[in-house]
Amino acid sequence: MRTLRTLALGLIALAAAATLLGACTPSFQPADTVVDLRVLGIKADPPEALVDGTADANGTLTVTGVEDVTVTALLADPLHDTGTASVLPTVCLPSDGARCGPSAIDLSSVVGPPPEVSFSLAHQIKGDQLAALQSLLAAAVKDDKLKGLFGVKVQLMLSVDTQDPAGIQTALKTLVFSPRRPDGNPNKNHNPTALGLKLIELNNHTETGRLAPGETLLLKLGVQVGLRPLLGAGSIEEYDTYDLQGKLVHLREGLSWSFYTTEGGDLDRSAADEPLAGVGDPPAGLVRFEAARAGQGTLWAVVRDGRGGTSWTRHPWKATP
Amino acid sequence: MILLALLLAFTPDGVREAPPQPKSEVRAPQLTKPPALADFVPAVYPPDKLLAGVMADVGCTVDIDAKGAVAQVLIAQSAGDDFDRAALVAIQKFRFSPAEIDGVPAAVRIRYVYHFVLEKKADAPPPESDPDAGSITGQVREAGTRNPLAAAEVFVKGAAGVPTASTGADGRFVLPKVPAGKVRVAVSLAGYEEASAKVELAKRGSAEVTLYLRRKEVFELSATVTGDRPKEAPTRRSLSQAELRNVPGSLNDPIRAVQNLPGLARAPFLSGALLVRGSPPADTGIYLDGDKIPLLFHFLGGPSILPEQMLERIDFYPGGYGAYYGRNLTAAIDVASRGGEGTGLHGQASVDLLQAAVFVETPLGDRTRAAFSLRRSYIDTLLPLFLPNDPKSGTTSVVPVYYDYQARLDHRLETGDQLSLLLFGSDDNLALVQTGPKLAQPLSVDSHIGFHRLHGTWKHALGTDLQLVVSPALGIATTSFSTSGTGQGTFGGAQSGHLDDLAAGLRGELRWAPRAWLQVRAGTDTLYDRGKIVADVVTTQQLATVGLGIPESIHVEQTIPYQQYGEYLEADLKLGPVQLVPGLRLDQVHWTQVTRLTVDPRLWVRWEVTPDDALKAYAGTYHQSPSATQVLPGLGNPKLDLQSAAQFGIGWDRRFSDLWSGTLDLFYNRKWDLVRAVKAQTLADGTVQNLLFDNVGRGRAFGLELLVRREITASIYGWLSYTLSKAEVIQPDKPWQAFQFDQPHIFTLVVGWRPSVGWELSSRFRYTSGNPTSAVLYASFNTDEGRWDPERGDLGSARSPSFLQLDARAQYTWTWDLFRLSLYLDVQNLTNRSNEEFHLWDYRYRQEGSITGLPVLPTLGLQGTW
Repeated sequence: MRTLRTLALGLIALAAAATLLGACTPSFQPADTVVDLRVLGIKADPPEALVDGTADANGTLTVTGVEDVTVTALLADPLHDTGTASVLPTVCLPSDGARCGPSAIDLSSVVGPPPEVSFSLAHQIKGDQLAALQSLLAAAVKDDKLKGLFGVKVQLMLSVDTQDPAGIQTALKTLVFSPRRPDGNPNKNHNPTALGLKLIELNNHTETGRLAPGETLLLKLGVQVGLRPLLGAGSIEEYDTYDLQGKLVHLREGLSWSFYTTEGGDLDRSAADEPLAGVGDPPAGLVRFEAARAGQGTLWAVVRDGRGGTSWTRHPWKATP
Repeated sequence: MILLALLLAFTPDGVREAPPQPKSEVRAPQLTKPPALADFVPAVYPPDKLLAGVMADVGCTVDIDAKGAVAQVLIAQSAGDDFDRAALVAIQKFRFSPAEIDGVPAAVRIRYVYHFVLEKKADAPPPESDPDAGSITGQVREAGTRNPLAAAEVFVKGAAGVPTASTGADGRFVLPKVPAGKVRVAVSLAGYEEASAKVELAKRGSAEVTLYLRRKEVFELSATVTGDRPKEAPTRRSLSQAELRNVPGSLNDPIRAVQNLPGLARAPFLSGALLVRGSPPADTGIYLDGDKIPLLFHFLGGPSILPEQMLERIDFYPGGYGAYYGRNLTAAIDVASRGGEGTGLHGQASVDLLQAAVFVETPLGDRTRAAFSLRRSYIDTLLPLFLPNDPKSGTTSVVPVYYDYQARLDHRLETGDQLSLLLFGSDDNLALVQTGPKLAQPLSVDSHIGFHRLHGTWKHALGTDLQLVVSPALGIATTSFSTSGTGQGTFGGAQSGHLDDLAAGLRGELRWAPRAWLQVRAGTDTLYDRGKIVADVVTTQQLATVGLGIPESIHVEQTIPYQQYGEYLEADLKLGPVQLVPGLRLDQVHWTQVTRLTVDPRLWVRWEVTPDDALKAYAGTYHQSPSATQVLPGLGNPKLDLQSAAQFGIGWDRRFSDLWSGTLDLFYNRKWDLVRAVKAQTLADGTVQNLLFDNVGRGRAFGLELLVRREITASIYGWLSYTLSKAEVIQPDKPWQAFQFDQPHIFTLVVGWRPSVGWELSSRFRYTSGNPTSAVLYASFNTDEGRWDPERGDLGSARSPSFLQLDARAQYTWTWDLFRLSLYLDVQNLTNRSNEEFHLWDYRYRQEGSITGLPVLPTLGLQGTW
């Protein structure tokens, strides 16, 4: 009988690995520390665009119209904060690869200043690329093991260049398209809203203040501060869908956060989840932040809703002795 | 008697011989009773050598058949033609009491040194009879082991004319007509230092004395098993305890040493995982006395659950095994436990840096023997010293604790039936706690695995050519875990699980040998498992998501009956030089309203082309059940099929000399219907199918295995193994790619040397190819999941650096009358080479690094034996 034994052995391996890794891991730059050009997030608005079209008996989709999508990239480049960024959008079929293949469609480049570069997908389509894009959607359905049952998924790749020595950075996002339904798609996804950060006192986990996006976080050197994301109303949506056993389920989105800082800031963890329903605020999902040295920097928090929706908040920080 | 090389007239009394040693330091594990010399025939001293006063020792290898007759004598250490011939003629006329292997008379091979020694003839005639003379009785034992020594010569020093005496098989003697007063009784035996003791004898009185002899030569005694081997297979590789126990780098754990045999890939660190012929550990069955057991090694690369003292033998079948074993796709390893000694109370206690163990064995009456051992680790007190513990990084505390125990009782009924009962168990606890000011969510992992089993064997002769062996087994295994802080944020909630698995097994086998050339074996192999799972775990909902999944807490409470019935029939035909073994195994497996039936034909053949060369071949099919997790309703697919494999092999066995032999094997294994996780898909009718697991995996492995071996003898033993192989697997929607631990070249050299009675030195050298890795071709930031995704080449498109390690071990043993004390130093990675165990990348796959294996690691241990 190897029932839970496998799981328990896995946990033992985890413990052993944690022990070994804790003792012997090579010293790499942590993922939450931004030292050069990084694409920290890509927001599609709407995160679930509607598609007009018909499907034949074989499930082949003929697209007649697509809702436009505004794409915004969150860029962080401590070395070139005041320059411009060139962004090349490419769309292709989803794959296990980390980039679009040769059959991808390169849209027109966009140039803009960091930290955010936005563009409309429709505006970047060149010449006859609309037909190619519609064909891509049809191919995405055909290629999908689930045949587009939970949305037609297309991969967007952004290649970002700020003349940073690190070179061109690429980032991926799945664009979700759903057939327009007569009932107005009541379960359609929306992006969450990041309204800033809550500051938490670490001893008793009480809230001591709030920061709106862009507001500066003041730190005392060597003193940790607890951070919790501040979400706008309706950010955590509830919706009906089918699970993969074909059962209708009513779900609440499970939001997760990623935190990033420039050098000099020290995060105890780079990711945290929103607590499950019924689970209180801190300490669940609490992130601790402190400055390792006097000076200033930037802190980012990016939230994702698990259905393609995303948002973020950005805060300068200043540390004094 | 002091050996004086004086040239005197030849008399038969002037020639003494060294008797075969009833016990030996290098003890063959299958030997339950050594042969004892019953009829000694003196050799004729070569006349010219006698006149010249030349003495000599002739080393011989003597094959003794199951009835105690000498079957063959070979000269291993020549002293010249005349001495050799004289010794050969004499030894061929010897008669021994039959040796026993596993309690059954069996043929053995011993090393026998015939000493041609000239003794000083008595200068004076024996005195007249002394009316006040008494007698001295006693026993001669080997110092340290306290084993009785036969054929030792006992005499009274300085007392001319007093008769001498020889000890019997029980080591006892009677010296009659010893003058009253203070006398010194001495004993001598070839290969031992002379010993003596003062005895005060009253007039016409008697006295009792025990004399202990210390070895001055390295002795040897090896057993060659020629009796019935029901689990024979052309690929079987057996290692005896003597060969296994002092392999360097095995941390004094004999079972771990089996990893030095061909066919086994090197497991990471000290994990002890059995990676046989390109298969994961789950494809290899682990047996103790034929009873399948759930665990072979303790946590964190700890020792095996059976200590050295309870180990008789390891049979390792890398493939091609017969119908006796089933339900494994690739290999089987059968560890034979050892019964207690029948020669008195003996024991052993040992301590080292990791654990302490005690072992006791004793006869209980004439027909019963008992053995017991217990071991417990105390690594939990040492390991924290090496773990990170600072205010910034937090504190890591690992508390692994294990113990195991074994108790075996052997009894022979008056009818000749043999009964044995083995109770054994193992328990591992591992707790890991990480706390600290920086950690918002403390990490805690607490795991436990324990099992207790009772295994019995009854051997009963139904006739001269029919034997019945019945082996019932009963066991309970408990697996549990509880965690908090594993995962991030809300995933850090508490999770726990508990599995109680009650298992009952029954094996029965009939062995029928109607003709000398035919033996038939038929048996049943039944196993019933009833597992009860209670678990509260956080898992990810089965949804089509973009990015990270949605966690959910679930409560599982299920009872899973798992029944496996097996039947097999195997014939063993010896047709002249050809041995043909066809077999058929049927298995019926039942789980949650599902029944699967399999038929596995197997055949192997061995052709002795010459007395020293044999060719062999085998073919067969094998099946293995999915794990209980994979068929669990809700979490798995109850409709899974059994996994299948076909194995083919050819080989060549070559005996180069009495001591050197070699085996070459070529193998090809094909596996299909392997269980793999699969993604959900929409079917043609528009419905969604989400099987979770399906029989879509495939695998193949082929290669060459070479084993060159020097038999264990008095002073040296060792083997060289080399494997050249390729192992590949195929996953859903992927091409063939390398198996995770595919190591094309695996080379191991093990050498043991005993330069003197006290010292034993051994060394192991290992070289293996690096494990396959995937080259990272490109990496992009996946903004939906907040992590970098690499685009990798196929597994095997790159490899870790080769592994190379030299281990060494030195042991010295001090011997006192009643016990021995051994001190050993085992040094792993003597050259302190940095061997990569895991290849790591930074978060965006730009920087590379390694986790390396153990640095130079000395282990010091102390072992006392009485």
